[in-house]
Amino acid sequence: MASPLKCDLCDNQATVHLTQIVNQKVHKVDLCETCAQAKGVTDPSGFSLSDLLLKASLNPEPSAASGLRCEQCGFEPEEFKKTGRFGCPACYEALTGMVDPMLESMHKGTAHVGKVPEHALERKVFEDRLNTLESNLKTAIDAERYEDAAKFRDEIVQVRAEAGMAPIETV
Amino acid sequence: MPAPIEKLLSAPAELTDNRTSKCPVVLMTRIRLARNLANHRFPGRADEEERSKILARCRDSLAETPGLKRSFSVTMSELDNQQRQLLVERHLVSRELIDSKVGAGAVINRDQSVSVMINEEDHLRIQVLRTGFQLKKAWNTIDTLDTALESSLNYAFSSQLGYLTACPTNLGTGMRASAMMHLPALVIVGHMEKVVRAVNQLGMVVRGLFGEGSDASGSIFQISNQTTLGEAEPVIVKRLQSVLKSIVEHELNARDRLLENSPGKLPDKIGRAFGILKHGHL
Repeated sequence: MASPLKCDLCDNQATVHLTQIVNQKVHKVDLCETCAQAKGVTDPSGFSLSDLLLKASLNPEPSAASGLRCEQCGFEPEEFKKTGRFGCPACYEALTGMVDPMLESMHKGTAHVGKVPEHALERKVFEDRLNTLESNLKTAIDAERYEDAAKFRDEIVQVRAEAGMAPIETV
Repeated sequence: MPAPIEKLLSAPAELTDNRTSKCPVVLMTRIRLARNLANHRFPGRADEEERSKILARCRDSLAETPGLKRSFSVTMSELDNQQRQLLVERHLVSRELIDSKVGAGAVINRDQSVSVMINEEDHLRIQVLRTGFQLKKAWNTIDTLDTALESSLNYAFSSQLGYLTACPTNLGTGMRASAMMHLPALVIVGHMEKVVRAVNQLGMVVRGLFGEGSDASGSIFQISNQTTLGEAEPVIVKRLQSVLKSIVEHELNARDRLLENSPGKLPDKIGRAFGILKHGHL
């Protein structure tokens, strides 16, 4: 006989099984009696049902999550199962194998189409450009390609001037 | 000199003073945006030092933001229980914030229509409150505020996933738009369950007066969008607006029917409520 289903919220045996179809996707929740009552599932007004279904889709697939870790903050998928939250913004990239399957059942789409922080992105483009130029400059100096180095240095001065920053001695 | 919290509690506020809702069904509109700073751990995982740094950094930026320049700034650890509870009751901060660890604070503007929680679930939870049914106005206000704030803060953002939030249910726009609705007639005629189901199917969610996990005492329900990724903010706002309008219609119809079909029922309910208020002791 197959082992009895465990409650999605604790480790007790699940006796309440809910299935709801949202946006043509099937969402399933298995709960023990205590959690079902605590979450108001037995309440006829069906109050927190959608909250609960949403939370259930937070449970990552064990196979997708194994062996992943965020290098930036040390976050591991196991912690996510406990809290339903990630550790830092970089977790989304580091644990992408775990994030992607979750999003499909959670949201209307899997790509952002809304507002974009223009200022922050401009700043990022500027910083990235400067970082690339500085690293190019260093490589050129190390390789004793001084003509290239001079070109990169001039570009750095120009980029910094465009952003209203003081040119710094880089060589 | 009174402390900021005392000034705040006695100041006239958007929700409680001199304002009335034009629509007798929608009591209040609220939009919140979840935002985080790049290169910092989310509040739930950050240590005390990092949380304090985030609080200071966000406060500095908020103080320079147009519309928030003369606002109240409060730190949760400096308030007593009653003061914290009052802020929750006014919908200015959440229960989660008042239970938070070191570095939890809020910046609230003069008329208390804007409140920014710092180090709640996300580094910033910006919210705009409006009396009555004013979703579009609330969106315009919060959009402007968010853009101003973003000129000095580096938000964690990905072109694929949008604004990066501690919980993936807020990814994308990070926006939750909601309306607080008073639906006594739908509750009395027993149609609320149907409404909840229909609203759920449209990608909206129904909660109690104080959001997730709270009950619907007084027939007051909070209805909000459930998903945040895959649609632009104005699209979400527009859909919510049309769902809310149709709930308002249903409620008004139910009120008319109640008055027509059981004219004695409402005066009886009102009389009983008044009796409890007047003569109850506990």
